[in-house]
Amino acid sequence: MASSTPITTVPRSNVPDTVAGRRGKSIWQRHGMAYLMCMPTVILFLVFMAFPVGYVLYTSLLKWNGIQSVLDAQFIGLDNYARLVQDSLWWQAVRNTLLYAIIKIVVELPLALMLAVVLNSGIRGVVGFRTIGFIPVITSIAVVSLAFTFFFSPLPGAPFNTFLIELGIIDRPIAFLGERATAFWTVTGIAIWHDLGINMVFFLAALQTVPRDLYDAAQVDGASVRQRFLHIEVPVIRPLTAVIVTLSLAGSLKVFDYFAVLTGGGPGFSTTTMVLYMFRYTSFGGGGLAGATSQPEVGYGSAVAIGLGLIILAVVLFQQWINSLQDKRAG
Amino acid sequence: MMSTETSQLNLRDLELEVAVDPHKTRKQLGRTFGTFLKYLLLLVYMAICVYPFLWMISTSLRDQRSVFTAGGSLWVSDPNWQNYVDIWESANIPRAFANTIFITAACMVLTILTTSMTSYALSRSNFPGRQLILFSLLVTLLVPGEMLIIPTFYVNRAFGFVGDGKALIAVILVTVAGAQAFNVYLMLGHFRTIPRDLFDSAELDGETYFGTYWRIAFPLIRPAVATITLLTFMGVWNAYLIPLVYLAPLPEFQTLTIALVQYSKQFQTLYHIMAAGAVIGLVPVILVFIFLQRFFIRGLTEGATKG
Repeated sequence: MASSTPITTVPRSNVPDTVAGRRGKSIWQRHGMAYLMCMPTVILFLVFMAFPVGYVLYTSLLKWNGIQSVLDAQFIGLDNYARLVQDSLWWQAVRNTLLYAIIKIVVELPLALMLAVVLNSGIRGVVGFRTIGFIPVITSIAVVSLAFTFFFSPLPGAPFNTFLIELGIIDRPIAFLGERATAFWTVTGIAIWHDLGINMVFFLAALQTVPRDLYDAAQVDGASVRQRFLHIEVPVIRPLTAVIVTLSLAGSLKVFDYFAVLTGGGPGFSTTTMVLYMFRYTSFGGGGLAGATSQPEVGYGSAVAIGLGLIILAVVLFQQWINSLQDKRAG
Repeated sequence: MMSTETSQLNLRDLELEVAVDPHKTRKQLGRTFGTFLKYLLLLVYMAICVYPFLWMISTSLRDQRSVFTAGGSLWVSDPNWQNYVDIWESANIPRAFANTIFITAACMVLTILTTSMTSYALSRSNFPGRQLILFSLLVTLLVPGEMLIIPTFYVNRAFGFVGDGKALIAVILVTVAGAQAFNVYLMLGHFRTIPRDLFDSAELDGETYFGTYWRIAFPLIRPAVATITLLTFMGVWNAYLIPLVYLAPLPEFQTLTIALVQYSKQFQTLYHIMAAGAVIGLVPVILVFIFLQRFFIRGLTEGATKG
């Protein structure tokens, strides 16, 4: 979430230890309790963050099925990475994930902004609308996806096809989640439905910080709705928009739940995302994914993990860089 | 609070336009039409938000035959409550509820305790290594948790937390570890607003370092605690990826989400019963949200803007 925090904000130590009687004691006497209190976080960090980063780097150099002892695994150097670079299915997963992330930004954020502007324009019942619009956000993606498998199915009685046929848009049912041409778009649509509300709320929160007298002044000057939007609202929401884009990107690139439950990455690999592709080489979760291998290849899976970590990092840093350029331009 | 403000705005708009001139009335008509469009847009969006849930509820009350003739209608003439009994028993829902509540509660308590202690110490004392901890946590924010799914699994396996009930511990540890960096930074922001004199004078009054944290600092950051509690509740209750890794092969220890997804794999065509399961899984979160929606929305927006 907070990957938006610029790296430069490590808080300065402005903490003078001036309590009388502390001077001249050993570090442990002075700070023992502070160390003890940081201990759980530090241990969790070392065991479940720092060590695993090193470990996954190491296992990515092995031919290892995850079942035999890691010490017996064969060291194969960078072979897994050589394989990864040439793995067209991996690149398809990367493409799917990036396309998903881009669509989420290009479609979802403008919709969310539009709804927020409407909600902020002197409508009655803002709290009610906001609450209802937020309900999809708080529900479990996996459980909601479960219900949607029938909602979008071509079976008789399934709502989505029935509506489209009644409206005359299609004339025979389509397996929206089962066909290459539609599966990816359907899942992405469901994801937009699920996540739109949170961005609407973010934008609304930003818009509500616009001082009232700015609107009054605009009204006195006879500004049009468009002018008001461009010259009052856009400057206020611009900084938060950068944060929203970062959050959206960081979340989208890790996407797993929707695709795992709705399509399992199929048909073919048309809806496989980076995290799904990594899963494919492990024995976790009991399979059910597109092309899940019967024999886990955890060494290769580790290389995939590094690959997806690097891509996420690169995209997020690239976006931060764009932001900083824009900030400079905006002065 | 918001709504009263905006309705006042509306009243003023109307007053301004009481003076009728032909030019104005046309403008006013246009504005009425615009307002109509706004409400229409919002109502359509609300319908899209809510309809799938209503459809889920109605599907959960159908029998196996009427599921396939409903065609999106929400009306159920003859509700079949048996579906809830069926899913309750066959997916072992009570057990899944207990597991989910246990994991969620443990993650909430442990996340709050560990992150608040750490951020208290980090904001209060300048000990050697403080900068290193702050920097490490900041770097953690850049490492996607998904990248560490594989290695943390083998760390837990080495501890013996894989394959039986102890897998619940694995889920809790991985979740709490993943929550550290973000929440420490969120809490640091709150601890910094507490005047330092308060700590120093408490200590001069004989309060210990830990006592100052527990009795003075912690109560003062209640808003942050509320935010983190709600975010953790939502995240853990709904979690899929981490519980899937550790709990999917263990029917006795599955969370609600995992139990429902596993059940659906087994009984793919019993859509009415799956819908009942989905309703059971979604209702607790929706209820908590409706009662605490202000806190949820404040917490989430704070997380985005200050985190």
